[in-house]
Amino acid sequence: MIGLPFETLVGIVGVPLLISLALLLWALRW
Amino acid sequence: MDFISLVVVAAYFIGLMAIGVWTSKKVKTSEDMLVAGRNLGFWVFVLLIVSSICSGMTILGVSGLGFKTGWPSIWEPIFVPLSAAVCILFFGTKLHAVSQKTGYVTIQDYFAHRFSSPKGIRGVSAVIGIVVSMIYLVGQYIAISIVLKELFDIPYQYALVAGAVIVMVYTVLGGLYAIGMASLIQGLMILAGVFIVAPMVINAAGGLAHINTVLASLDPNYVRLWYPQMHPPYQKYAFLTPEYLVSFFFMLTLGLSVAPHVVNNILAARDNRYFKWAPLAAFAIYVVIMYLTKITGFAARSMVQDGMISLPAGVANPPDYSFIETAKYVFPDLFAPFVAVIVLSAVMSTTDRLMLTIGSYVSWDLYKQFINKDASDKSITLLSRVSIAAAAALTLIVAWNYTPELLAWLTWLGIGIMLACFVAPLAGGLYWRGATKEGAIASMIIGLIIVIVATYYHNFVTPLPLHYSMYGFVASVVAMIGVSLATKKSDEQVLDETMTGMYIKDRSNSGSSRSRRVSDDVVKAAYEPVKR
Repeated sequence: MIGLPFETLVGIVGVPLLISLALLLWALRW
Repeated sequence: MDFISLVVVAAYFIGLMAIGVWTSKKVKTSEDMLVAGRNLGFWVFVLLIVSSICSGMTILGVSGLGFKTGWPSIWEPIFVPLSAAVCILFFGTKLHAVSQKTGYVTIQDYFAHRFSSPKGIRGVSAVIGIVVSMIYLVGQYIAISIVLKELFDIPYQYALVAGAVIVMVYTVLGGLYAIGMASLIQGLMILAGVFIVAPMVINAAGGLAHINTVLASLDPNYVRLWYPQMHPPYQKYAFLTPEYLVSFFFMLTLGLSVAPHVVNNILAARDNRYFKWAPLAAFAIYVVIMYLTKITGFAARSMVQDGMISLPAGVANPPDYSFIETAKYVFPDLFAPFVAVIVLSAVMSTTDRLMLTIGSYVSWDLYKQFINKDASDKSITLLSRVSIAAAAALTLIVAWNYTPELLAWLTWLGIGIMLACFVAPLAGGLYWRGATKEGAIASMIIGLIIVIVATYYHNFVTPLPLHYSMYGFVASVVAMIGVSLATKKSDEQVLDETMTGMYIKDRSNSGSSRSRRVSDDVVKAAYEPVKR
C-alpha cells in the first residue's frame, strides 16, 4: 500500500497510535 | 519585495506588536512578566508548549532531513512531539502541583528547594540554562534571516535585525503573557499553513504511492524504518541506524522536554487539571504538523527527481529549502508572504520564549539571589526586560558574522547540552528520594564536560556511532546515582514538601503528608518564594 513495505506502514502508523493510546489511558485514569 | 508580500508580512508583524502592547497592561508584577501570573488557560498552555519546541528546525530542518534520508527519519516527527507530552506528563504534573503551593518562578526555584541549595545548584543550573538558550537563540535568528532573505531577497543583515527586533519588542512589553498569546496565533498559523501546503504538495508530486516509488528507486532503504546497522554508515545519509535512533530518542524526547524554554512553561498553567488532557492534546497536534512537514520533504525529493523543482545552489544545506521550494511550486503567485508567515511563526515562537528564559534567569536567579537579595519586585521586572534586550543584542552580534553550517550544529549542540545537564537532576529530583544536592551538581557539570568532549571528538577526531549528547547523558546519570549514594541524604521534610518519590500524581489528595500545605517559613528558608 502507498508504495511502502508492510513493516514500514505498520511502524509509521502504529507507533504514534500506540503513544496516543497511552496518553489517552493516562487521561482516563486521572 | 512586492506590495502584497509587504502588506501580509507587515500585518503579521503589526499583529505581534499589538499583542505586546495589549498584554503589557497585564504585567504588573514580576510574576506576571515571568510566569504570566500563573494564569494561562488550557489551549494557550498547550500551544505555548508546542510552539516553544516548534522552531525553525521543525519546518525547514524536518523537511530537509526527510529530503536527505527518507522514511528512516520519520522517528524525528514522533520523538519531538513526544517531548511535549513527556514534559507535561512526566515532569510537569508533579512540578506544577508542587509549584502551586510554593510559588516557583523558574525551575531553579525547584532545584534550590528540593536540594536545599539556595545558591550552588541554582547558580550552576541558571548559568548553563543561559548559555544553552543563547546558543539556541543564535540558531533561530539565522533561520529567520534565511527565510526572509530567500523569500524577499533583502540583505541578510536587514532580515536578521528586523526579525530579532520584533520578537524582542513584544517579549519585553508583555513577557510570558505576550508569548502565550502570540503562541496561540503562531500555532494556528503553523497548523493552517502546513495543512494547506502539505496535501497540495503531495498531490502535485503525484501522490504518496508515486513519491514512495521514486524514493525506493533511489535507495530501497529510503522506504524502511531505519538503515542497516553499520558504522560508519554505507552513505553519509544512512546514519539513522537502530543504534543511532536510540540516542536520537533520548536526545529529542528527553532533551527537549527539559529545555529551559520549554519546561519553565509548566509553571504558568492555571490549573493542575490541565495535566490530564494536555499531554495527548500537545502530542496529537504536534505529530500531525510534523508528519505533514516530513512528507513534504519526501515529496520534494520526488519532485526534484521528476524535474519539477530544483533546490537552490550555492547555499549551505540545499535540502533545508525543500518546504520553501515545494510551496513555491504549488502557490507560484502568493507563495512568498504565505510561506514566510508560516516559517516565521515557527521560528519566532521559539525565539521569544528563549529571550524570556534568559531574562528570567538573569533577573530572578542571578541578580535577586546572588547580587541583591532585597531587590524590589519592580526592579526584577525592569531587569528582566533589560536582560531580554541585552540577550537579543548580544546574540545578534554573534549571528551577524555567522557561517551557515553553524545553524544546524549550534541547535544540535544546544539540545545535547540540555539532555546531558538537566534530565538527570530533574528526573532524579522528582522521582528518587536518594538524589542529593551533590549528585545533582555533579551530574550537571560532568554531563556538560562530557558532551563538549564528545562533540569535539565527533567533529574533529572520528565520527561516533551514537549521537554525541548520549555520552554526556550517560555520564550525568552515572554521576547522579554514584555521587548521591556517596553523600548525605536530603532532609525528609523537604522530600515530602517537594512530593519526591516514585509516583507522578498524588492519588491520596488532601490529608496525606505529601500534599499538605507547606509551612511558609520552611520554604522561604530554602529558596525565597514569591511574596503575594
